[in-house]
This record gives sequence, C-alpha cells and structure tokens, in this order.
Amino acid sequence: MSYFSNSGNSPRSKNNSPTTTTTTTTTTTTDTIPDSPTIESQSSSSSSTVDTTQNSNNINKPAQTPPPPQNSAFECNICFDEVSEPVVTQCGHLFCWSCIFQWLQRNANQQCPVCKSPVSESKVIPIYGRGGSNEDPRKKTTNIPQRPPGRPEQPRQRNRDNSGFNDFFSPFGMSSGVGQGGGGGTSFSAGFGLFPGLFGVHFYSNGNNGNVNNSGTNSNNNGNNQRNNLSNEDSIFISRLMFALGLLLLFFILFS
Amino acid sequence: MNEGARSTKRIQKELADITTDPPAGCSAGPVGDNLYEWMSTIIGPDGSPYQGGVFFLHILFPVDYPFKPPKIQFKTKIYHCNINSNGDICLDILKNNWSPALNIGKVLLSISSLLTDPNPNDPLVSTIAEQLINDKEAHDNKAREFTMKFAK
Repeated sequence: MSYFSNSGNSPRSKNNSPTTTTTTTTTTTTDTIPDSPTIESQSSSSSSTVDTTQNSNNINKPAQTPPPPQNSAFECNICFDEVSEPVVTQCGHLFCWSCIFQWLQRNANQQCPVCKSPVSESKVIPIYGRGGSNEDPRKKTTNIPQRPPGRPEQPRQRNRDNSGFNDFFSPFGMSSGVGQGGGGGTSFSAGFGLFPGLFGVHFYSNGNNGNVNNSGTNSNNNGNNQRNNLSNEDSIFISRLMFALGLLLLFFILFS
Repeated sequence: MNEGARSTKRIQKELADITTDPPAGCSAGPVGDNLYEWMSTIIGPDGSPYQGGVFFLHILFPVDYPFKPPKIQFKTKIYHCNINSNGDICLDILKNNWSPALNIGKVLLSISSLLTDPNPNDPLVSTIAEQLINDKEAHDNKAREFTMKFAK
C-alpha cells in the first residue's frame, strides 16, 4: 500500500558517488551536536588508544578545558565591545544594532564593514539571547530606531528544497523527497486516496540524510541517525495506524 | 552612549590590543594625556629601500571614530611615490575604503606593506612614481639615501 519514492536518489546511488557522500557526511558532522565528541575521539584515536581514554576523561572534567580565547567571538565588529542589541548581517557578521545602524547611515555603499558585501537595515537579523539587554532603555539614544523584527520561517517553508511540496495533491499513497540543498532534509508523507493529505500523516526531519553511508541495509535514508525520532518501522506502523483510523472514520460516515 | 564615549572606549581597547600584541615592526601609543592623539613608529621593512630606518607617524583619531578613519601623517621624511613631502599618505583604507572593522594595527601593517610595495599607478608624488616605473634602481638608491639621512 505504501512505498517510497526518493526523487531518483536512492541510498545506493549515493554510495556510488564519492563526491556526494563526502559532502553529506561533512554537513552532518558539523551540524549534529551529539556527533562532536565522536569527532574528537576519532581524531585522537589515530595517535594511540591511551589518548582516547584521556580524551574521554577530559570530557568528564570541565575544569581541564582550555581557557576561552582572548578575543571573544561575541564582540561587535565596530565598537569591539560586547554586543548590545545584537544583530547579524546576512553575511554572518555580528554588530550592535546602534553601531551598524550608524555605519549604514554614513556609508553610501551600504557595505558590511568586515567583508564589504551588501547590507541593508531591514535585512539584518536580530539575535535574542536568554538574558536580554541589561541597559536602561531610557539611556538609549532616541535617534536610533528599534531593531527590525525577526522573521520566523514557517516550518513548511524549510521544505522548499524538497519535492514534499507536492505531497498534498499527490495521487500516490506515500512519497518522500530528499533535499539536495545545503541544509538537506527528508520529508515523508503517507496517505490514501486522491487527497492523501486528508487522512495522511506528514513527517519532516531536517539534516538527517548524511548517514547514507552507514545505512546500507535500510531503504530509508534516515537509517542509523540518533537524532531521527522516527525509524522506518515506526513510520510504517504509524501510517498503517492512520490508515486503520481513516477506514474506521470512513465506515462511520457511511453507515451512521 | 554618545559618540565621544563610544570612540574613547574603542580607542582604549585598541591601545590595550596594540600594547599587548603589537604588529610586526610597528608600535603606537598616545601622546601625553590625549587619547585621540597618538605617535607611532614603523621600522623600514626588510628587503625594501627603507630597511634600517625608523619612521615616525602622527595619528589623530576623529571624535566619530571608528565611523571615520584616523588621520595619519609621516613625521619622518620619506622618499615614496604615495607619501608626499607633507607626510600625507595616499592609501585607500584611510580614505573612501575605510571600514570601522579595521583597527590601527591593521592600518599600520598596511602602511608597512605600502613601503614594501609602492603603488605608482595611484601616486601622490608623480615624479617619484615615474622614476619608480622607468628607473627602479635610481629610485631605490634615492629612497635608501633618504632613509639613511632622515630615518636613522
């Protein structure tokens, strides 16, 4: 009843292309936080096994971690001070909102002070930390406007690289798309009838398609990844459950 | 925070940075109590005709620093196509290519590399630039002579 369509990119075909494999693996290791200790132990295991044990000891003892670098990564690139009302440009450079605002008022070229790429006031992204600003708002200069608001993306929009957009009107029971863009991701939907979206179930997991190498036996790309909440078997189980519920509902509507 | 307080804080940070970790062949610090007025030295880079010389520079930070570039002048006479007899320097980052992400250490390094690689295509003293293009040896001899005479 249900089947996968991987948009022409089966795990086997990925295994055959070394370039794609390398890229996806790199993405996963940098993006996945739980993988970080694994990377460390991998790099140290090349020297000796004793190093690996020492390394694991270091993880358990935070006192032995090296001191933070002298220049903090969270200093404004203009005032060289700790950022207040932090904003980040689309090129990734961090500034105080008042600093970058004043620079853009004076700089006719509207360039990033660090990399010279174009910057506009409305396109900088505010960063909201947990602590918030400690400054007295009354002390703030009045000629500097409020930071532009954040632009939260709708969860569905993360799917734009995938073929999952067509899921709703797809006449097929189930479809999955594997993104090829930088973020990567797997969308998965199961449903029945002409409009599977009505009874269907949709899953989306982001950035988990990197472990294609390890999951040779799995037909699903999400194979061994720890972060993936839904294994292949779970997905099939839930889709069957939903199917049963859908049938029940259908019978209820027809015979009541 | 007003402009004066902002620039003071930023200059103080730069002073701390350049004192603890000065760029190669350069040093800088305030003249007297005025944080906005500095003196700097650049040692003539090895391999250039300015090798062996010590060049003094005067740095003046504007009140709206770092949104405006610092004004930098050579106080030591130098024979260079991008530096005139007044000591004014023709360097893009000190004019329209200034960025507030630059600091005085980076600027001094840029000046130092300008001594190694003069730019005769954008000269401030056209006669020196022409000589550099047409007769580099004579230019270098003259520059060496100036270095020995004024920067020793």
